[in-house]
Amino acid sequence: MGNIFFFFSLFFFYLGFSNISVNFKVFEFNSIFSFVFFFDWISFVFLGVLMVILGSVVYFSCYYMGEELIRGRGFIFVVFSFVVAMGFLIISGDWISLIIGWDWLGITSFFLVCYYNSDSSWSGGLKTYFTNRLGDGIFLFLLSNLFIYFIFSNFYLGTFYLFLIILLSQTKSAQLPFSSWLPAAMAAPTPVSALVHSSTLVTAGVYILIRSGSILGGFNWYLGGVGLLTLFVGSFSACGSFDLKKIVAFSTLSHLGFMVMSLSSVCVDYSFFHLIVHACFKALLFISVGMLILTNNHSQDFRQVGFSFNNLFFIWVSLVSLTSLCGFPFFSGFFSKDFTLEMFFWSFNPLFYFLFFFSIFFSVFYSVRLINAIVSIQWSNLVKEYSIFNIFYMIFLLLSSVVIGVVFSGWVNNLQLISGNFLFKFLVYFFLLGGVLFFYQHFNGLISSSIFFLDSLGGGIPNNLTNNFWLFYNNVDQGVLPFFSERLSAENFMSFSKVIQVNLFLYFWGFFIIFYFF
Amino acid sequence: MPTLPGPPLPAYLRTSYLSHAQKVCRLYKAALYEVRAKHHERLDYRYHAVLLRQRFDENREVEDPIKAKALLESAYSELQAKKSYFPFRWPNDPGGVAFGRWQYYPDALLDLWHPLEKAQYPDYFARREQRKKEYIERWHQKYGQDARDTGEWTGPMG
Repeated sequence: MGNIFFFFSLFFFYLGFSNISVNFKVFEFNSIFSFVFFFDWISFVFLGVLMVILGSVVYFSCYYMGEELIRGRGFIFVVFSFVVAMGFLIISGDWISLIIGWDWLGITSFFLVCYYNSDSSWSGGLKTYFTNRLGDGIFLFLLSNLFIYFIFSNFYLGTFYLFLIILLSQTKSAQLPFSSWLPAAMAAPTPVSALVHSSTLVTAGVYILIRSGSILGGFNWYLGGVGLLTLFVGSFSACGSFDLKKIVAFSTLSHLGFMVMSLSSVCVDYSFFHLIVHACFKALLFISVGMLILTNNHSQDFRQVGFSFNNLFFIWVSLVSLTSLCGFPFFSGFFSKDFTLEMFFWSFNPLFYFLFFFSIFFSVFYSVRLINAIVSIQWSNLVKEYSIFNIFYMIFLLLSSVVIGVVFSGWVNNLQLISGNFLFKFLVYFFLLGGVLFFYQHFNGLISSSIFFLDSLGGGIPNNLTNNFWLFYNNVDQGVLPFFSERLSAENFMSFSKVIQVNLFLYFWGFFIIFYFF
Repeated sequence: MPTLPGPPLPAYLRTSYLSHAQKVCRLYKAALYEVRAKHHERLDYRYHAVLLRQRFDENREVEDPIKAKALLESAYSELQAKKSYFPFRWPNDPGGVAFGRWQYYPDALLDLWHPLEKAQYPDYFARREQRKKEYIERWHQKYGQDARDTGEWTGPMG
């Protein structure tokens, strides 16, 4: 059934390559209130990628949701409703059609997260929906003032309204003050996460910033700062998680921060390029990790992964996706990330520099950690076997996570090579290599994933909402955690600082010596 | 949220009496799960599990109940202090990721089966029809022949 979506995607890519631009006014009332669709190469390429991901997710959900007791619960109906909403948002050219897509997206994502009956699904759904609703409130305020302006015009809207547009995208795209819903939304079934939380819902905010890119001048520092902090928090928290899906969720969070950062300082097309490439490899990662989860009887902990010969394929697929994620040379992540990285070599603010390059370092660190945990399977749990011949649906995403970077880099407008100091180009690879090497040091409970107390900003909704008063009263909220996972004792501090010290000394001083003397 | 056995609940939430042996066994299981959470590699885990067992075996022969209780309480407070922030739970255990994914369906759903599907289980459906009749008769005996169902919600199973 999913094959038709692959054909739709080819159709959309064909239209996208033809570089047309059509403004289609569906409805107009009193020449003020209008409802417009805008078909551009951006819309078509995004729709094409959406169709590829949808096709793969439809196949994947046949396996994942095939174990449900009740088949006719309308899961696929809600998924299609979500995709139509996303399509609406992608092709919308005006505030009225945008708000329809935006709100519809929020409602369907709530129903998708709340699919299971567990407490964590309920609290995750509420966190998701309330954060989205905050954005909707801002949107309604904007709409009451701005409905006469097209979203893509060059008309300067005023600082206040621009700030509200940026705040709007922050709530949807899980930027920093509003990012607590993304890990909580992992209570959704994995096909939902692959479609919704990797590429479509979370990129809606970035998408409207991309569309209104010409009017964002003056907010560069704000966007850059928010993006940087999200990038850092996401990649740091992923280094401390043990739940497979939460690691991927934090990785998505960090890449969203990266997209916003690239919007702030570089051409809008870089951000869009990264959006597309990220959608492909992140959906692939969710699907491969989801198949691992499925074969392990829904266990999401990477300490519980069991062995099966058929799992080796999914492990390999997740390895490919992770190498693309890290920006390994000549995979597609390299093309989308590296251009933006080079732009940030010229940043003057040392804290900015430090946080940014540490985030790249951490992204490699968590990737290596994840793949190490998946590959070194030692526990003989009961593993369900799935036929290896039923994995063809992953082929498109697999190919795209390797090849799409090369294909699109020659075609995205304004993409130019930055020629700089030869050693600057290797700066990135120092960090990548460092991330790999750093992993093999031995720590004792170094990093705890508390997402920097963000859960307390998530509306105060605990992770285990239940209607039973006594269970609720007698609980421990798993959200707010201190920084170290072991007790704060002097010897732990010493061991931590010693290892950091030795590593940093050898690594960074070596680099700076080379940099200053050559 | 119910969790694996840990320190004893406050007195107003306890619903059963546990013997000392039961408490010790619950402590051992909880401690073993914490060791499993901390040591990811199999050999490492096995080594520390053996050490944990050794600690329990040292105090096996303690006859004095006061001393035994004191040991148990100190052990529980040690467990509480050393709890991992990412506890090891199997997915369907309370506290695990897949806990609470219940699926409810009303019994009346079986009436919606196609006759050909029902014909695959003739004995069951014949017994079911008989039981439905008996249920309706009992209901009318209890509430009178003229009483009707008010449509109140009686639970997720219908």
